[in-house]
Amino acid sequence: MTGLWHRVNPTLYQKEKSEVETHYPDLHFVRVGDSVRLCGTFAVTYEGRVLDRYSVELQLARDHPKSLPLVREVGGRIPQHEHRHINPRDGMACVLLPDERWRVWPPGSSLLSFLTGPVHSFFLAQSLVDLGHPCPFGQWEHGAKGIFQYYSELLKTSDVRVICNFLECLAAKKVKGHWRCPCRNGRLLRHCHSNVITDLKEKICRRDATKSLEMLRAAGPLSLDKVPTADSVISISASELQRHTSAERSYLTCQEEPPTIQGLVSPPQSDQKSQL
Amino acid sequence: MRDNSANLCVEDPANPYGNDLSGLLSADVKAQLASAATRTLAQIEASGWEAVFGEAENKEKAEKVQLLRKAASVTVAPTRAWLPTK
Repeated sequence: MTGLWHRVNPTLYQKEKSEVETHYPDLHFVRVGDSVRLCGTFAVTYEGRVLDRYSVELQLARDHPKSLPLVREVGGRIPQHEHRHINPRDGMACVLLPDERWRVWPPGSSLLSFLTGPVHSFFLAQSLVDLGHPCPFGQWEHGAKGIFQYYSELLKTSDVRVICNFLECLAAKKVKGHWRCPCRNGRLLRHCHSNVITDLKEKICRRDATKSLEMLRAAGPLSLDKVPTADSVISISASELQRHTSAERSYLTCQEEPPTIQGLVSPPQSDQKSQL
Repeated sequence: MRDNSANLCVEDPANPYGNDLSGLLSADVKAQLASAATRTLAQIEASGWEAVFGEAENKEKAEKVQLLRKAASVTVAPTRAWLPTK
C-alpha cells in the first residue's frame, strides 16, 4: 500500500496548502482521519470580481496529485442530477473526463491549477446553466458515449473498432512494433501510427485507458450509434470538411498516407525507422 | 403624492432644522407631482410595475450572464463536464 501523500511529502502538503489558501482564502485544508479535504466557499471570478459562490468539498486522493481530487458541491445549489453532471449516487461533480486530464491538468500540476482550471470551468458553466444558458464549453455525453465522443474527436474517426484498438494499445504495458496498427489499415504499427501511440501513452495513463476500454466494450457498438462524433461536433467550413472527410477515408482504408491527428505527432514517414 | 400633494414637504437630511427647503415645493410643483403620480399609477394599473420601472431583475441577470460569458471566453483550457455512468 502506498503511503499517504501528505505524510510522505509534507513539503508538497505545505506548498499546496499555502498556494491554495493564498489564492482562495475561503477554502481551508482539513484533515479528516487519514484523508485531506479542502472545504469552504469556491468563488467563480472574472477580473477579480466574484460572480458566484459555491460551497464545496474536495477530497484529495491518497496518492495526490497522481489521482484526481473528488469534487462535491455541498451547498445544495446544484441539483444532484446527471444533466448537471452531478452523480446522484454520491453527489460527486464530474468536472472532467480523466482521459482528457493531460490537456487540462497534466501530472505534476499544482492543486491550485486544478482549482483555477477544471473546477473553475465546471462551476462557471453551472452558473450559466442556472441562468438558463447552455454550457459555454459544451459537455461530453454520459458514460461510454462520452468516451467514444472524446476519442472520436481526438483520433478523428467515428469507427468504434479503431478507437478500441487504440485504447488496447494505451492499456497495454508494452506495445510491440510488429503488432498490426490500431487504425486497421493492415500495416505494422512500426510503419504506421507508432509515434501517435507513443505520444498518447505519455499523455493518457494506463488505468484511465483501461477503464475507458472496459466501458466501451460493456456498452457495445449499438449503444454508440447516435453519439455526436467528430464530424458533427466540430464546426468546420465546407472545404475543411471535404478535406477532413477525404483524409479520414484515406486514413481508414490506407489508400494514402494516414493523416496527422490534430494535437498529436504525425505518423512516421515510410523511410523513417520506428523506435518500436 | 396623488392624494396628499398639499401636505408634501421637503427636508435636507444633513441639516433638517437649519435648511428651509419649503420654497422648492410651490403649489404649482405639488400639482405637477400629483398629476405625474396619477399618470404613473394609471400606467401601473394598466401595464404593471415593469412598464414604469423596467425589468430590474432581468437587467441584473443579463449583466451576470455577460460577465460569466466573458469569463468563459478567457478561460485558457476549458473543460467539458462528463459523467461516468448513466
